[in-house]
Amino acid sequence: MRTPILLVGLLALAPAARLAAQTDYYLRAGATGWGTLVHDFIAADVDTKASIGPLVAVGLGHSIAPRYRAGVELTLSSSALRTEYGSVTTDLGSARTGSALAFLDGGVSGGLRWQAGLGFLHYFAGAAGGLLEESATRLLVGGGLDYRRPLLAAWDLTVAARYDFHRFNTPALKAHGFSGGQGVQRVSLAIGLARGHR
Amino acid sequence: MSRRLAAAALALLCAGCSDIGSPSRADIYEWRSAQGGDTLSFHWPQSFLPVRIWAEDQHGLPAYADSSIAAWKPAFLYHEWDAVRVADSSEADVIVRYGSPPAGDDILLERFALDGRAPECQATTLPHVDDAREVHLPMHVYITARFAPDLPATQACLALTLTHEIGHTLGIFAHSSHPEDIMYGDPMVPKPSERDRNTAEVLYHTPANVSPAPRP
Ligand SMILES: [Zn+2]
Repeated sequence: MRTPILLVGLLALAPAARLAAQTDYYLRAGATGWGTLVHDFIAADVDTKASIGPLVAVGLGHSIAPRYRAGVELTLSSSALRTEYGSVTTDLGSARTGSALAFLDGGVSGGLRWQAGLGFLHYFAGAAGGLLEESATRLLVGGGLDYRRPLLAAWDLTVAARYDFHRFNTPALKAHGFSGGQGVQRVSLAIGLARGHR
Repeated sequence: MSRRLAAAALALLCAGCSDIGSPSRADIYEWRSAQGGDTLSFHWPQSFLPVRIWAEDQHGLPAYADSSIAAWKPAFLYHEWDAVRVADSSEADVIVRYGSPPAGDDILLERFALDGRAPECQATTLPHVDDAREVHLPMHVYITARFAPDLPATQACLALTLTHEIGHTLGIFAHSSHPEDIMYGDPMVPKPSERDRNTAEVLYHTPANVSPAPRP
């Protein structure tokens, strides 16, 4: 637990260090792929998965040192939920999420930057009787790489590859006797425009 | 700092690999029907869902059908079973009527509320299984009061007994030996217990040897 706490502290303190720093912002759209949301066993394996789904992300970054930036990224995503067991696939509606991630990023080389962050992933309430009958909010940890190159006078092309994970559980699962949380890994790829200092 | 970040990423990666703790579903009862040495196991395939249930508009049966469906749905976390009430009996997979079953039907399951202290109602579910191990549709459920059907005690009996019969129609072709279960032979509780729900869920993950005949 120490490292995430250190990361949070760093992110909280960093913006104050350079109030006069420059700011940039971006908007991206892309797709998210999910690992298994719930692995269960009822006579045989039962896996609940989310399909690859669209995402939009907006972010704001603030320079805090020559090589480092701190910021916040907000994303929305939607994916179809299904459960598979044996040869059966059932439709569980959709998983709609919103996330807020406080991040720190730094230059790698050229237009390439790394990013790491900590925040929250919120599952919006879905269909009655489903896994997501009620909303749920989980701690989210993520990171990735951003590539940026000039496109127009004031706008850059930006491409981001992200990896994040959280531990999934919902009130409906708890009511069924599930405990702990399923480690869920997600990857996403998004493309968009960024504006601000280069 | 990059070493710390790498260590954090690695630790979180490992944490991300673990599975959620699944509930134990060991506490279940036998749901299959043993008929002359033959064991019959049935559940509705996904292609038939939602199961369409029609209830005769007598003594509150439509409302009890709705509450029965609502009582069973939460058992199916992964939407293995679902049902809706329909307005037209010609479209139904399950028909619930007020009254006694006609003589001569092939009665596979039968429940009579024979509790001498509270003999308010009785019901019968008739899943007609042919030699090809197909259940003829629609299935028929007959439910009737022994005394005045509008007495509160009789209404409560009709409600919980219909939930019991819907349990039969979804595939629980046997009775629990536990009085606290809705599928006990003479049901006394108003809704499915955890053991009922576990049994229903497990049966939908177990191969069936009886399937529904094509819809007419
Ligand atoms: Zn019965």
